Parts: sequence; C-alpha cells; structure tokens
Amino acid sequence: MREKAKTREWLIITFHTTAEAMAVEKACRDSGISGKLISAPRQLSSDCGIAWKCDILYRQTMEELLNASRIEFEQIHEITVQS
Amino acid sequence: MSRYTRSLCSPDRQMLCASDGEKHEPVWFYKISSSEDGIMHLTDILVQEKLHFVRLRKMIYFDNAATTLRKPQAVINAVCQAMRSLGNCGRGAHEDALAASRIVYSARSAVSELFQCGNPRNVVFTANSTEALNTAILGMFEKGDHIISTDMEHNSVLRPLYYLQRMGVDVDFIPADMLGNIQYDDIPAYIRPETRAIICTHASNLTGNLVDVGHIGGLARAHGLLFIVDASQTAGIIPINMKRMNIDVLCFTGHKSLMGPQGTGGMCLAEGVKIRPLKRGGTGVQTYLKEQPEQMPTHLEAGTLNSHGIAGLEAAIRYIQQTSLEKIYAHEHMLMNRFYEGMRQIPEIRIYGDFRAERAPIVAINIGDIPSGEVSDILNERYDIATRPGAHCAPRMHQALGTVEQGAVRFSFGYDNTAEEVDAAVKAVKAITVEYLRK
Repeated sequence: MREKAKTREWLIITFHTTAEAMAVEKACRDSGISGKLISAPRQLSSDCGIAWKCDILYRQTMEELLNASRIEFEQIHEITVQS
Repeated sequence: MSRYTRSLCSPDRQMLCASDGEKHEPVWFYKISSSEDGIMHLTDILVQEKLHFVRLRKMIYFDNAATTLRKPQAVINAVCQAMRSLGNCGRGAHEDALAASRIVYSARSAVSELFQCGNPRNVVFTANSTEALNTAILGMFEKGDHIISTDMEHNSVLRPLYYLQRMGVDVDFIPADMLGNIQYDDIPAYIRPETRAIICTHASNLTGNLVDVGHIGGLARAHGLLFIVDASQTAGIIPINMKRMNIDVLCFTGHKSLMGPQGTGGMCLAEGVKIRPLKRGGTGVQTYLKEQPEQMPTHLEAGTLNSHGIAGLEAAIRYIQQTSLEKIYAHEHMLMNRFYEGMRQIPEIRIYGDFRAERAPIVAINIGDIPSGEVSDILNERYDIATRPGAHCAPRMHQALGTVEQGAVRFSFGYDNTAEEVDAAVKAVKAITVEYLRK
C-alpha cells in the first residue's frame, strides 16, 4: 500500500533590498521567531536574492512584526512543499 | 607577561609601544616571539593586558584631523576577522554572504543609533565623506536652485558646489570673520524663494571652530530648506542628533574621529529625503530592472560594499559607545587646552580660531613668518612630531584668516595622545621659535 505523501506549509517573505531581509532576520531573532534566510525562489521574486522562510503558523505574527518594525517587503507567499 | 619572552631591541626586532586606553600612560613592550612558531601574537598580548591601542613606532602623532593613525585594537581585530570570514554582502544566501550582510546591517544599526538617524535602512555606506557629500550635493539640485554654504567648508563641499555653479545653480557663502566664525544672524538675509538648502560643516578642519548646527537646522526647517551637514571632524567626539538638529543629510567619514578604517564612511538620510544616485550598477537585487532600485539604501549603494572596512567601522563605533563620547571629548580637549595654553605663552606664535566655546580638538598656529611647511618639516625631522602644514583643503577659510601664503601648522589631537606628548610639542615649538626668531 502506497504511503500518502506528507506536505508542509511554509511562509516565504520576499524583499526589495538585502537590508530589509537583514532587518527581518534581526527582528525575528529578537522576538524568538524561528526561521531562516534562503535564496529567493525565482518563481516568487526577481527582486532581492534573499527571502525569509518560516512556519506558516507565524503568518499573523510576521505581519504584525513587519508592521511594527516598519520593514518594507515585496510579498508574503504561502507555499506547500511535499516531502 | 610571564608566558612571553622579551628580546633585545635590534634592527630586526622592532620595539613596540602600547598605550593603556584608561590611563593614557605609554606602556612599552619589546617585540615578542612565541615559543612555538616564532610568530608574534600581538592580539594575545593585548587581550591579556587589556590594552586599547598599539604603537609600532615611538613618535608623536598630531595629525588626527587627517586620519587617526592608531585605531583601537578591537577595530583591527574586527577587520582581520572579517577578512578571514566574509563573503559578499547581498550576494546570495550562503553562510559567508549572509555573514557579510549581517555585519553590514549591524553596522547600519550602529551608525543610525550613534547619529539618531531613526532607521538603519537610511544609512548609506560610501568610501568616505567626499563620496557621501558628492552624492548628496550632486544628487539633489537643479539649474535655477539656490544653495547657502559657508567659508568654513572643506573642498569636499566646495568643489561639488563650484561644479553646480557651472551647471547653473546659484551658491552663496556666509563669510567667516578673523576668528574663523560665521555670523548666524547673517543667514536669513541670504534666503530667497529659489533657496533649496543650507550645506555646512559641523567643525572647521582648519581652526576646529564648531558650527551651531542645531541653530542652523532650526532655521532651515523654519524656511522649508534641506539641511546637509559635513560631520568629518566631529563624528565620534561631539554628539550629533539628526532629529533634534533637523539634519536631512549627515555625511561622515569612518577613519578620523570615529577611529575606523580608511575607505569607510557614509551618509544618513532623514525619512523621505530623495537623492539621485551618483553610481549605478550591481546591487544583488532587482537584477532585471534597468534603473537603479528605488529602495534605500540600495538606491545609493551600487557595487560591492567594503564589508571588511565596515566591520571595523562597527567595532570602532561600539568602542566609542563603550568608552563614551564625553570621555573621549574630555581627554582630547584636555590635550588641546594644554597645547593652546602652551602656545599662548610664546609671543611669536599666532593662534587661529575661537577658543571661547566648545570645539573640535584642533590648534592651528604659525611661528612668526616662518612658512608653515618649514615648521612642520622641522617638527617631523628633528622631533618626530607629525603635524599638517599648508592649506588643508580649506581655501576659503585660509582666505578669511589671511593665511593663503604662509598656510598654518595644524596640531590635531586624538584619544591615544598623552599630556607628555603635548608637553614635548610645546617644548619643540618653543625651541624652533628661539632658534629661528630670537637668534
């Protein structure tokens, strides 16, 4: 019997500049939000080469953080990855 | 010290001198070889002894307004570490590139905090003040605009302004008096409908006189003018608060009173200030865009950043913050006043500038009619004292002081200088005066 493919949902935030990406990493570290900087997937963005990846559960928290820290971003994406 | 062996001073074993940042007492070490690899590990010694500055040659350096010769050991360590470990800032998400991006961003935060810029993303890194000033001055004005500046400016402000004049921008310079000061009450009379900005230095690099940028900033704000400040001589010793002083663009260099590496500097922009880029090119972002990206700080930062130098600049700012601006200012002013009082005792000495108020730690003098270059060379060759003679890239200031022909000998003091060094310089100037003018 074939095992059902597992999926995981991620939040990917893309930016216009490297400085914005760095600001998000620092703000997340300061706030205890886990995640990492990755190479921005080409299909999501042609802007900054770096994107922030974290669990989709952080969606609301991230939006609040971006707003409170006045950090500009290009877009917030939700992606599903099969493992 | 017990784990190190001292060796005798000889031509191939240079003597080292380190000064204790707390007491400013010179502490002497001989070149030390470790027992294992024969290589001196100076960093180990400094960490062990908690020393802040290292001297590789026993001489007296009073040219800190040109560049601080001796950098805090923390700065040197940071640059060395960066050169071992950093990739290219903003070029990729691998760990080495991210390490560079993180350090650059951390440095932006340190600069923003130091000058109360309000947003690290409005801190732009350049190679020096000159590049920052050129970016601002050449990137904000159009033919028909009018700008107000002063006689106290360095050529890094004057030459871009003279270029703008040739392009059809009108520029007025507030005149300086014989003490090297401008009259603030004169400024409103220069403001007219086409006036767009006031551009001025925070302190003269020749006299050390300070400009009340808070006062001028208030004036600029009241008349809706941009306010651009050159902080080359004050960043790191005099507190600067961009918001309180109504500064729109603050230009600084990293290698003078900030005690960072040469090749570092930058500009801080108030929120909403727009500048056309001076350079266009690679940014690591928005690759398919034909124009320079609009977002700050990328808009004004084309090409690979000097991450190694910027790492040193950040360490320098942290060092200054840990030490405190007040302590650095107090020490440098103690030295400046000690030298000033020494000069006042010699009748043949002319001292330039106004010493009645807060100022940058600079004393410019002349000995009778002796050419300044000659005096500086004697100080260098006979007494091993480094000073700066001549025109100091400040032509209008020398014209105002009447020193175009003779120039002036500038003594500028730094945090690692000592009172003993000042006394030696006073003694040397006295000896030159006696030898050349009294015999």
